[in-house]
Amino acid sequence: MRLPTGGRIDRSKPLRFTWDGRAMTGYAGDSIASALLANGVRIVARSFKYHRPRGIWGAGVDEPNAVVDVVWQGQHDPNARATLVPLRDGMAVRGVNAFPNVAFDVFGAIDLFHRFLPAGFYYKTFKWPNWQRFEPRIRAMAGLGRVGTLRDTRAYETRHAKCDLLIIGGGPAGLAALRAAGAGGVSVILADDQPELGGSLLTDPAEIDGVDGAAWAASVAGQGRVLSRTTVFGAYDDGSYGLLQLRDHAPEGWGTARLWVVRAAKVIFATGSIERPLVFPDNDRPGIMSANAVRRFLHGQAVLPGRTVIVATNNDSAYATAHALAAAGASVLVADARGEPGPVAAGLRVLPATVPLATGGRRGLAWVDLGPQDGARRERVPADLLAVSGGWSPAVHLFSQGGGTLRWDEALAAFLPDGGETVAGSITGAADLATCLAQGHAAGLAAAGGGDLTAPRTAPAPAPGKILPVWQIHPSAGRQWVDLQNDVTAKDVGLAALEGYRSVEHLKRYTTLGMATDQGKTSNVNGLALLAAATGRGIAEVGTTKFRPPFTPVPLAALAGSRHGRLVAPLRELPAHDDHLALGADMRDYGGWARPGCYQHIGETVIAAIAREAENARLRLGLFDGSSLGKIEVQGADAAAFLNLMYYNEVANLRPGRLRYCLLLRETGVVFDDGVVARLAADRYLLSPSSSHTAGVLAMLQAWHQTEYPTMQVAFHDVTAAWATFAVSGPRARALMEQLGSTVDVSEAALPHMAMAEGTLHGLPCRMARVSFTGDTSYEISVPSSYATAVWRHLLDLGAPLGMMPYGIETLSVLRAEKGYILIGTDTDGMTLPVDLGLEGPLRTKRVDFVGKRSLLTPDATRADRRQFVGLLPDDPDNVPAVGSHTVTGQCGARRSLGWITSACMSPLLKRSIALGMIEGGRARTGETVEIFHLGGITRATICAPVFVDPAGERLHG
Amino acid sequence: MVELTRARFDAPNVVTPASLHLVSGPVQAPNTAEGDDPVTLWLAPDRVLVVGWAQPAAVTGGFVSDITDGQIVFQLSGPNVADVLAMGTTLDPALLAPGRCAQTLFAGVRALVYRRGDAVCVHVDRPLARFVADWLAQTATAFAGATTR
Amino acid sequence: MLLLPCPHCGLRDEPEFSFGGEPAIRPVPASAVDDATWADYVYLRSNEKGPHREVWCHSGGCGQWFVLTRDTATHAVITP
Repeated sequence: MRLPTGGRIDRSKPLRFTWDGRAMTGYAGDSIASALLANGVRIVARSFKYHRPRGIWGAGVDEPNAVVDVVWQGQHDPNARATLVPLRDGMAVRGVNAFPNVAFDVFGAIDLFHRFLPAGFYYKTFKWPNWQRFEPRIRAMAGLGRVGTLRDTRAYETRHAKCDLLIIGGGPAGLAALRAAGAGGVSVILADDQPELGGSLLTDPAEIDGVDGAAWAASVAGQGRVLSRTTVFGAYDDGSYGLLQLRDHAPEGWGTARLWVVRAAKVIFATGSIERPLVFPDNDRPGIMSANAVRRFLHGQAVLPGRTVIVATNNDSAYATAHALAAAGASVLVADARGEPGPVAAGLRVLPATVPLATGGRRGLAWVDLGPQDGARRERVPADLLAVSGGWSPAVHLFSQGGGTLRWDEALAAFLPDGGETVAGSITGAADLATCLAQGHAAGLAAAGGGDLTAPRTAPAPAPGKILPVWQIHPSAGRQWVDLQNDVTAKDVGLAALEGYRSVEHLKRYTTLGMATDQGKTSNVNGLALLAAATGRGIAEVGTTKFRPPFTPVPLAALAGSRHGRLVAPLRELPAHDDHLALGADMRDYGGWARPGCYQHIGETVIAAIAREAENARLRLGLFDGSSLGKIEVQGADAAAFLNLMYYNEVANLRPGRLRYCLLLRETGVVFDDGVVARLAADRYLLSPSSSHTAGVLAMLQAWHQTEYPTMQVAFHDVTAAWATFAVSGPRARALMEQLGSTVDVSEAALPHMAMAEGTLHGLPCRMARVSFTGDTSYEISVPSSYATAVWRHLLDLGAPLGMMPYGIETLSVLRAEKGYILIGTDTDGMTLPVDLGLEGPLRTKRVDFVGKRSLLTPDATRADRRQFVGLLPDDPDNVPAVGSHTVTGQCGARRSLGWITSACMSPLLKRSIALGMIEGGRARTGETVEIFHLGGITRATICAPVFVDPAGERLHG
Repeated sequence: MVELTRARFDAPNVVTPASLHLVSGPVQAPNTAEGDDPVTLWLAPDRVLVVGWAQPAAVTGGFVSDITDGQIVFQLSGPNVADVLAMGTTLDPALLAPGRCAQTLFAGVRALVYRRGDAVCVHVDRPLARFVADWLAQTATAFAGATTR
Repeated sequence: MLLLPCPHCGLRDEPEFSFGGEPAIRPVPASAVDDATWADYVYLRSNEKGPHREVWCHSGGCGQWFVLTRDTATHAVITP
């Protein structure tokens, strides 16, 4: 219920929202959780596995239960943690993982079968006859929220920042550090996940330097860059941190989450600590809350979660809650597990050496059985709220991610960070405000390199009493919950130990304890303490599981940032890109370049377009945009010698003005790239790697030069983007070239196949190369890329009377298949050697130790049964075999693969299907029929040489 | 003689230097920018980029490649440049002092970045210029008319 | 996100770099190398936990290769 006064809420601003369709009201300053509690909502969720009704436990990131579905202003979050979402007017909030709703979930019946669903039940209950039968149903029931189907088209901001000091946490310790470091003149970023700075100062009234704690917090904020509603979710290498900042509003088209990547020279972890639950029978009933959270809701939002309250504790900190509740008018009884009670104020009833033994109540807590730990006696006490404190676990997650080590402190019953001056506040185990302020101040001064600013002053507190660790109450009774979100009980921990899972990492994975969206913030320490007891070890010896980012969930959209839609990945455009679009090109991503697959006419299918273009290019004249092909200029006194050490083929004896088709190998001997090497002068070459490998080839050349041959005089310029290249191909190609009007002599004698020349084309520098990937006479014309559009259009104009049509890369793929020209990565894979392709010459004749040479001499490289590149003619001329289908033979009653189809298409010239493949011992099998297996069926083909059109290559010379 | 026209890359913030030349051979202190027009930008221990702004730079001798058509130069100015850089690159802004240049990744793409007067120049390969222009256009909307309700 | 020391450009962020693995001495000439030695060079690396010699390339920057020693357990660069 809501108290009539108090809290840091604005009662002049009522906010309307709905909970599972019911209209409710809250105020500015509420979280969804506090608003639900104020409206008397007790059941906010159903647990993951057993669908048990659950209520709100905590007030912040520690909350394990209240995962809800929130829709507001067109934004949908199916996995919101109710304690972390500020209430806004018009929010529609729903429970998840229940039908029809969390209050009356029919799947609650699953809990009746809990005996058959212990930890590891996948491998036990549902093993026979076949796990796969049950898996789809079980998976369908898993998960919490339902993902929406609307596509999020917004971009999300990413900001990179550098600072001298990153302070994580805006409570008193973090703020004291900010005050000290800011005064020292270092650049500081402070991140705090709450909408308002202050941390515990917002929960507990305090006076610092004579002013109210919250006001002091606000006054300090100006000392540095403060990011509110910002969670540091990960500590990464070398002082880099990931931060997620939330805002209510963002500019049109932008999401409200912003990712910060911060590089900090120094850091201060002022991340606080998290209250632990006590483990006792039925400790998951709605109405059982963290004592500290009760106080946060009480002082923060004037919410009283119950009127008849039992406070169960094993340490002093819960007494502040007991007093605050009593002051608010609740009837309070403290059950202290210790023999000596804590700091009792007048009138507070305390039962020493008393713990909760059981709880009851159908739609939420109604009573608690209290008694000694051994359960010898019990008294049933009515209560609608049980505020629990089992101790405090410092929030060491980020500290540990950053490489910091922890040690178990027996006296405080906590894992403390060995952090020196990088940690301040309750993360160190400090319990009182004065110590937190002093630690933060010292840490801030140290980070700033010193200073004489005095620490903020507050009233000192008496030393707290000791904690009595109580890891489990009454071990044999009832179901005692350890991980609320993943429904893991103390018995599951015992089961894991019994089955041999003694490591805390195994405990986690076997029981899923600590693997839910709350990442075990309230269950990790309790779980490992139980494991320690079950395996006869100390807690220090068991240790914690490894902490990994993210600390709290981060939306994938925030990590993607601007990378979505058109900007999902850099895509290169050809210089004449717009012209291709205007011609109806079907543009696709080929190796990072947008290239035309073919140019469809209106009403034409892609297959028809390819057939039309291919036939035209073969019989008349085609025009192809090859501007994406790499162009690397190589120059130097040692250029020839160096390239000869790189390429498989001999390039040092290439004459200026001549081209050679060459392979580049990896050191494993595997073919990495093929391309054309042109010699321009004695000391100058022009390399043409394939479009998708240009960067890789350049990287390879530079790597070998720098690391293996640094004394060789050679340099590399990637000029790919500076030149546009168009291929004119077909029987009428020379006819067009003779009309082109360049200064280059294009006669067969002056420019034969595999030759090149430089000149000008209407005043533009141009390079002409006779190189063919179609098998027909081809000229590649290169001009500066700013003139790409002009020259493309000029070529189409000149070519129109000659029947010229543009053709795309899919068409080229068909034309080259007719000739058996390989495509790297299609006809070759990570195992293909030059010998497999029938290219053995250089291995025999080339003397230098080119890259990969030695690998071509190994037993595996020289065995006789290697797969070899061959052609296949399917028996059925209309059957185009599926690429990747295997050719098979029978062996010992089973099928054995002999290889596979690498390329296949209809040949427009031959008007029948053709295929290329890599077949075991293929070259010796010419004329043999093989069986091709695909999707349960067998077809047949005859092996032949890998060339179907013009085997002698006469068409190249036109 | 046929008149072949030069296409301009159409996007906001694009400037067109008169010439761009890759030159291998000259030695210069790493990540420095020498001169004004032409300005010589360090790329590698043995390689520089010579940018001629008003007129083509006279670059002779050694291994020279004319890549005037191969790069697009974006010139960013205005109150939001620091934020745009913070969104596009992890580069420490202190590395963009006068007389310095840096090669880095900008919007995920290889870029050469340096100050020119009050503005920041970003050179990218021409094929990727459309992607970077789209990225800049989208990023600009993060600042234009930000709502504060 | 590692911060790596390019010898020319200074400290830069990890996305600007490509990893080249552990450097190896190339056994030459090919005619004098037995299969086992060659296979070790091509495929085997020591892959230590702890200080580890590595080559990196500043591929998103100046394109230069360099060697450093880095602890594979803590990720810290020991000697640039």
